[in-house]
Amino acid sequence: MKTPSMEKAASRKDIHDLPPNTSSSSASSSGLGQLARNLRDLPGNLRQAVLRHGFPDSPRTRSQAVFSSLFLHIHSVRTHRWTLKQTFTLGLGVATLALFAILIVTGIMLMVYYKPTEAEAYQSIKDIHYVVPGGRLLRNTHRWAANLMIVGVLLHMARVFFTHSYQKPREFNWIVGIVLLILTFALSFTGYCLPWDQLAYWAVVIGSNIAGSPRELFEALGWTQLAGIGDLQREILLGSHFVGNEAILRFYWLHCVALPFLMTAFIGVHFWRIRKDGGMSRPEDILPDELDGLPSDKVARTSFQDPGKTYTLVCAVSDGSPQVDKDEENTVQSWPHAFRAELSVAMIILALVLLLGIFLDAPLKVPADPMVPDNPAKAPWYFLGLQEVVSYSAFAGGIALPFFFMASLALIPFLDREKFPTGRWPRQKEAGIIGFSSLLAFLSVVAILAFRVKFGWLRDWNPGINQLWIILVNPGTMLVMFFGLYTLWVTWRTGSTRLGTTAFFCCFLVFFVVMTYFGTVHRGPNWGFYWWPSQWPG
Amino acid sequence: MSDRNELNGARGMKDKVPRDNLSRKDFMGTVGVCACLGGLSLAVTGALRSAVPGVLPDPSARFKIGTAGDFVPGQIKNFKEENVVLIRDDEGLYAISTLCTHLGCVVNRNEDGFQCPCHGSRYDHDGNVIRGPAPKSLPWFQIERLPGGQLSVDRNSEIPIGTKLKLDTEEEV
Repeated sequence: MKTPSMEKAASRKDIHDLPPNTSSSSASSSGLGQLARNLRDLPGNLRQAVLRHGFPDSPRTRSQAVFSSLFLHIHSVRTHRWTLKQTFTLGLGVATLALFAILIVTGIMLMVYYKPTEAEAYQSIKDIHYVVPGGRLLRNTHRWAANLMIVGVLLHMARVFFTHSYQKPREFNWIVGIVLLILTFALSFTGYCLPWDQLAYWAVVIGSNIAGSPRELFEALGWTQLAGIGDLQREILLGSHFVGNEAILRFYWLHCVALPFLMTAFIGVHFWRIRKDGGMSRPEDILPDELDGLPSDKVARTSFQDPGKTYTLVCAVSDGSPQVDKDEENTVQSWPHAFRAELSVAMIILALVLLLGIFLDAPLKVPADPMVPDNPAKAPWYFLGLQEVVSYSAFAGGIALPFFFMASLALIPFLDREKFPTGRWPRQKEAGIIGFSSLLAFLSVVAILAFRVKFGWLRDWNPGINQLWIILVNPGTMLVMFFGLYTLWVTWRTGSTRLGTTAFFCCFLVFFVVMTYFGTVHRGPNWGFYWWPSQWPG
Repeated sequence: MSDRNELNGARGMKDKVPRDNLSRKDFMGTVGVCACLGGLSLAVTGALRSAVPGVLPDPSARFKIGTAGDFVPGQIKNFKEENVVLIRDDEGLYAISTLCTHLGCVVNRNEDGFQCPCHGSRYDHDGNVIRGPAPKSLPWFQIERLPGGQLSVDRNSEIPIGTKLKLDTEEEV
């Protein structure tokens, strides 16, 4: 029989090697003695049963920590050092995931008190803010995390684009990313509709009418038999022809059930594909000094015969089997290096969201009034660019343009199949194209906005003009055509599809940013132009 | 394709053996799979149909506006809850919708006509579009006479712009 001291002598990291308490043969063991020993061993056995591995302080147990856990095994056991470079990923993907996690937690908490009916919704938000203990912080945090998530998703997309990380074999994951971007916008939209204040009500009115706006196109074309498509979409969204109880319930269902479910599923696919597509992107030609300052371990600098293979215990435990004439592996154990990096980003995000939530209250306007919209009736900032293009034409700005941009973004990996160095920020010629395209896009957007403010547009010159002209020829469609032609020109001129798509991506980003800024700052009552909100009449 | 296979560790996996003709077993298998897919898609379609409301919980499209005597020439009555403005001039009485034909905001009446606060559409006094993104003029609604001198507006029936309901002077008394 083992004595306690012997058991203590056994290293804790080898606890999994000891089949616990198999010594039942001893003469001295009565049932009670056995029970006492079991009680004494309870903490260790419980830990072993839950974690399935010892304390992660050796390469072996650290590997086990990753692949024995349902929640951690989405990671590989070892992580490439390049992907831990802060200046490479900027932590944007993890930051966005952290924000989504915060949103799920705070959202589930808010569901306890929120009542999705016309009569009670607004009051329940007030209750959450003023009565529910901690409710104010909960709601503020939810709101700030949602805002930051929009920023996070967009920046993450830009990072992936500019570091050429969408290229084969990562094309599909880029598309999944675009789907996640659209879902993020959809979640934000359905979310700010729920408080049933003036913002919410008129957002639902406008949003549902955008869904119904194919009618505008089909009536302009004279195909009235198809005009019902828009009405059907609107009916499905509202559950009625008017915005009321049915609409609020449907938006609630979308926001709390359908969209988060889709989002979670697509996030799962997104992460799964990162692993399956060869891990996070990185350059093939990393110089040793580029990895200076990054974490390293014994195995990091050894070479393996087959860098493509799955890490087995052999490679993790025996500290490598060095080979000649092979590239260095340059990976480190995910535990603790990758997890430390991820946790740091998540903690920074949590701190930021909490700080914002403590000091800045989420806005709540006066209760919904179906008789009088606010003037100007503005959407939250991330939709003000959309509101600006919608003010040219409901169909062109609300359906055609967003569809065009999302479809072109999704197709980027298939339109550009060049082998640019993956995993590096742009340099030289590419950086030049980025600078030039951004400047050109900026000037063209500003020019056309200024032109429209100063001289008006088609209907100001000819009030009787056919609506088809309004749909086809407006600042939004003109800019899209210009961006398209410019993209083709860059592709032709440089002979590179990568540089062409870079030009297009810059145009899209600048278009989004300038339109958003313009709608936020320079649009006032009746959607007129004002230099500053302080100049608004009344 | 080949390098992707290598990446996924599926090295050495061969393409399917080409088949020249369909055996009975394969045919039955294909039919089975098609039947499953067909059944599933029918089930999903049936479930999705529930998203289209069968009963519309809408308020009535018709509403009473009073008697002819309630409207004197030059009078403008805004029925805010119904989003309709009633205007009485020398030629008669007419009802104009105050919902912008662009995206459904409530337009404001001012000295020039109607103006939408959401996206800047403008209409003249008769509701014709003169500026902005609105695709259509503001609709005019049919005014009906009910027994007992009551008038009602039917928001489901649009009439041509300029159609005004003549109100006899005896009615007004």
